[in-house]
Amino acid sequence: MSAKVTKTMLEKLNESLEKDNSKLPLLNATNSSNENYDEVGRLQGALRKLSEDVPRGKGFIFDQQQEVDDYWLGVVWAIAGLGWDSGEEIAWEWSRPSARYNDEGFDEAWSSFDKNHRTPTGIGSVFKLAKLRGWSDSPFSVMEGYSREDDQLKTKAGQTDEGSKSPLAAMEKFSVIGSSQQLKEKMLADVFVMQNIAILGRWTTLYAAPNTGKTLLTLWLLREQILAGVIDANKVFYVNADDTYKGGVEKTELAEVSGFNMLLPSVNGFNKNELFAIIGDLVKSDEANGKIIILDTLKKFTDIMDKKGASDFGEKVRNFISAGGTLICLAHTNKHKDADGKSIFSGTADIVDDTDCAFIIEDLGRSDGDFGEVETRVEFRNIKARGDVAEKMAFTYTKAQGGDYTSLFDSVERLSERDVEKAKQKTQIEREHKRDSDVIDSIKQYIHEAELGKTELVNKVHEDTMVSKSKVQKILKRWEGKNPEKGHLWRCEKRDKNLVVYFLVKTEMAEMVDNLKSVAKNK
Amino acid sequence: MACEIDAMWQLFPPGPETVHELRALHHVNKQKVVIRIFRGKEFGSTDDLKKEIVLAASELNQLGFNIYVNLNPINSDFIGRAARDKDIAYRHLLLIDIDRMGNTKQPATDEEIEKAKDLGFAVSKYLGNLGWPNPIRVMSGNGVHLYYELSDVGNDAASEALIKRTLNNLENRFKTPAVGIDRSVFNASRITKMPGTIMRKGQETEERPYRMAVLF
Repeated sequence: MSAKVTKTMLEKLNESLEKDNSKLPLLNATNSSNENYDEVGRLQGALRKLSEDVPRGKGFIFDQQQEVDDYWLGVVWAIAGLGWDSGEEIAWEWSRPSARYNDEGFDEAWSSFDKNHRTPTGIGSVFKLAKLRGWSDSPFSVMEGYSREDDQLKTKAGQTDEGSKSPLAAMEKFSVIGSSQQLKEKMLADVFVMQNIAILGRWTTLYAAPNTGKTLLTLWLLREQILAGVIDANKVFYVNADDTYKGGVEKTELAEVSGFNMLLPSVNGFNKNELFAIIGDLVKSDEANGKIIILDTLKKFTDIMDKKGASDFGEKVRNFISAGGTLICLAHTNKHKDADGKSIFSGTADIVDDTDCAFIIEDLGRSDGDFGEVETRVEFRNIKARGDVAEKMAFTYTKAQGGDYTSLFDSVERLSERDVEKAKQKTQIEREHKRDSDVIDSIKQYIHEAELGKTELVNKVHEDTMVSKSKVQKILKRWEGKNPEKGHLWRCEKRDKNLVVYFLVKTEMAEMVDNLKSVAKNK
Repeated sequence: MACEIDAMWQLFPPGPETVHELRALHHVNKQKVVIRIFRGKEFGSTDDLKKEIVLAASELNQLGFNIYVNLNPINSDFIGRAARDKDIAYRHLLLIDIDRMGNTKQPATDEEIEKAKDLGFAVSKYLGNLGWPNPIRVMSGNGVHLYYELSDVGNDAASEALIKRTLNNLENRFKTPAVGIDRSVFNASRITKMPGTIMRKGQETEERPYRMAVLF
């Protein structure tokens, strides 16, 4: 690699690429089909209207002009019949959310496609079925889970009715009786914007103490649903109004990868104070439907301590929600906890009263790893529910020392109920370790330095820490055992003449590092 | 593997003043991270330095860790556990990381690797037509890396913006529904897979095997 690439060469490349923004025709390089971005997008849009969770079937989508219920294989074969490079990926993406899905079944179905079949199932049948399920073959077709009617939902209040001035008539003109069909069409299906936490078409508020990971977990949960094809990334607008410049950049990178929109105050002319005017315009122009807005954090948009302000905010949000929008607000908890030691929301109760769903994200505890990494465990606890959301959900994430936001993001994992229980136990153990840390550190130091009998060890620790001998003995006993998961720190072995000596219990990681060191030393 | 190691020293040249970070991430337990720092001045010779790095990488790799090294040289006075952007002396390499789209949690199939290679050749051919040199090409285990040596590119905000813009433009120009170019590898302290080591992710199957990162 003798020749090098200079800044000038990089600049020239960028100018060239930005000037000529055409795509490399690789999509069609290996087949002569119509595989291009528009057609791929069109097919994916149609598939979103078809449930993947249907029986395998025999490879038909229609039988004697009648749609069949078991059309999965028919759809897979129709996609295979296109001969697209991206076909298998598209079919797999569509199929995998089904409870019936497994890799072997999919591979077998995909490879069993017979391109020489006399009566193949064509892709036209897929589009036909999708149209029957409400798919609109237009570049402006809407995402799955709800319908966007061009007709604005009209209450009688919207009609001109100057004739009657009586209070009863005024009430009557607001009645929506007779509009149920329109209301039903406008209603969004229970589609999760954040799995089991936030539902499309609702207002969800997530409360957490600073540095609990609410932004991280919100971004992670959004990406999860985007990748699963449940929500359309283009319709997600993350308003990151409570971050540093660097933090904003890091999260924008993640948003770019996931394809959703990120709004940063004072960047590209965005003024957060104008957001609700824009949302109001969206409502007026009937473009709010399907849009998902995340406000991070709520306090940047309203004074949550002010009843009037919170109430006005609630009213604006309700207009947006009524028009089919979805709002997720991230907010802080009160610095004080309740009598049970649980976090409580901050501000007046108006926001919680108005929001459809609210969760408090509770910090279950943090653990330091062997290499400076810190594992955090948190639990989402529902405090208000409208819709079938989870009562509790837990997650873990690990911040490696020196690790960037992407690695933190990639470390997020769900915790099962069992994991949560274990996490709580771990937190309790760590709390107790911390409480007795002076004695524990002293015991560990003496065990590390020499093989001491129990009495000698207790005496030395007592002299060292000035803690009573009985308490040292109690702590020595409390953390004795072989299982680090139970918080055991040392184990004992009996020697001759009833002499008891102690050894430190090592974590799996510490054992491994020691092994590595000894291997390297022997070489 | 010898040629992979040779390529690695070509990509990340060692010397008495160099500092090398070996970051090992366990492929099953993501919380297991081992970071080893090697300082050229602490070794009797460059050969000793090379030997120790290769030995550590090989042992950790056998223990199930994926091995990464820094794309760009670390400042010789670096103190700390893992290098951050501020610890990078200058930008030595441009990495064009070509990977499959969609589910990347399992190892790639041979077909997916071939598609990444095809795109790699298309990109290097396009750049070659603009007068760029041939890159070092590495099949990274699940995709393709093209490494171009940079000249006069420092470690500052302007350089970061330039690299970011380049990767964005390349991605916009070359991505397909099957393979794309990773736009996120622009930061100065980016780590990259160490050639000659086995990359493991997800569940290995006959169709989706673990592979060693090799030159091609």
